[in-house]
Amino acid sequence: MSIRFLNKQPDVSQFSDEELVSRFAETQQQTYFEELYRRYIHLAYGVCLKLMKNEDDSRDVVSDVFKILFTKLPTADVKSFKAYLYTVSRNECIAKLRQKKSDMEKLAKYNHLENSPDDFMENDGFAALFNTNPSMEQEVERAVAELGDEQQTCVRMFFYDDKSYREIATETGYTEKQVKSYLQNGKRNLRILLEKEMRKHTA
Amino acid sequence: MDGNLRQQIFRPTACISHEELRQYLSGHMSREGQRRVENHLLDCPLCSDAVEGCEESGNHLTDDLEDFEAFSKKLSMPSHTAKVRQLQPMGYLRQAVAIAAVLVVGAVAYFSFFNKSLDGPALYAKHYMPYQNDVPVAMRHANAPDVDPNFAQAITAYSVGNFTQASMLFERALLQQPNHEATLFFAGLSNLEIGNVDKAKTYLGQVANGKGIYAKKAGWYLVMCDLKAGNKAAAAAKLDKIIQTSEIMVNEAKSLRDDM
Repeated sequence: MSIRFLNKQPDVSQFSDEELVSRFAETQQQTYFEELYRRYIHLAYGVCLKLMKNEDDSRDVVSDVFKILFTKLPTADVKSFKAYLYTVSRNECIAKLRQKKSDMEKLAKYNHLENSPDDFMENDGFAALFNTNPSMEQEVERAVAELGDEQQTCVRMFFYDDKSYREIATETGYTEKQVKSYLQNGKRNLRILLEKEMRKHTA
Repeated sequence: MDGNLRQQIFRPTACISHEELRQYLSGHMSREGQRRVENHLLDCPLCSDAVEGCEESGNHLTDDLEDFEAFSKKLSMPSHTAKVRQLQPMGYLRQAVAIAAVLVVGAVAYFSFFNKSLDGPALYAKHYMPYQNDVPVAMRHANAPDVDPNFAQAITAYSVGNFTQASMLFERALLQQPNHEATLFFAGLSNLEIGNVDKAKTYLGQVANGKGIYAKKAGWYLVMCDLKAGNKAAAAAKLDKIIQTSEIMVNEAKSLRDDM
């Protein structure tokens, strides 16, 4: 007769990515990796699709990406899972394109990517610091006014008037891609300007 | 204007779920959902590229992606749900044929694997991981004590991916402080990023020969320099040394060595 323990499975959907990585590394239990796979497979596939421009190749690469993660996660020093996934996905696409000589033209366009940083904007820490300082509200307005014309227009329409990329594009004549790019750069510049201000306040 | 604008702009947002991606691409998403997604896309290159990839390819169908059950069959790890099948009795002849077939398939797989070993740049592409700026905040100020003012600007340029400008500024800082470890290290990385491998090797070599906090990390990036330059033999020699003596990057080194 054997003794059976009730094995209560943890609710992995409540875990952060980094908790899942760390538990997977500790226990090697597939459940934790499966949750990461479920959360990100569609995004990794989209990234591959952007670079490979081909659905079948993208499916192959995304499968390879998760195989690499499965092997490497237990020992890799992963501070941000999504940044790690993004880097591995891009590098795998570039490696695959290098193997296919017919794709040299695509590869030439992406060579700069393997060296470029992730550019994830981590808002958690910044927002917490920022929100403890109510006087920064006026600084935001001042910083927005310092942005270039295109960035300022898009930032005001998006954050002040709650307009979508498409609506901004229709009103300004920019393409949706341009709108997104102006917003991304505008937001990054706002953060740099506000960080400078905060430094002055804390100096 | 919203009185709480600062909270709106810098509010952390989660990545886009599969369902949200589907709704956003098909245009069937609530206005509130669309705002959340579009705000998140500004911060997250993973989601941003994924949306662009699907939009550009006109492929809005990600429903038929392999589910985890199918994917896990490709993994070498035994599934906890896998059942052990009872072996059926088999004649000696059938067993011998089966063993021979396994040996032939194994030999073909072995040789095709080794014939396809990657070259230096391909290995670089696979194993290179950009080094994140980890310089203490106190050193990033333009007026930080004991640090050349160019260093603060250089590290900002490095953080936003402007490596050409970063390398130029780091080199200016080195004119004033030629032995400053962090400056040498990041000058090496910036040059590696923009393809100036010889310069990168010079700076990183200086760091690796020292005893500072970046010495061992510089050793790893010297391997990357060799790979980028296509010199696999030099990279292999350095890797072996890392595996034998280093306290960090050992697993990465082993994994790369296996691929070589």
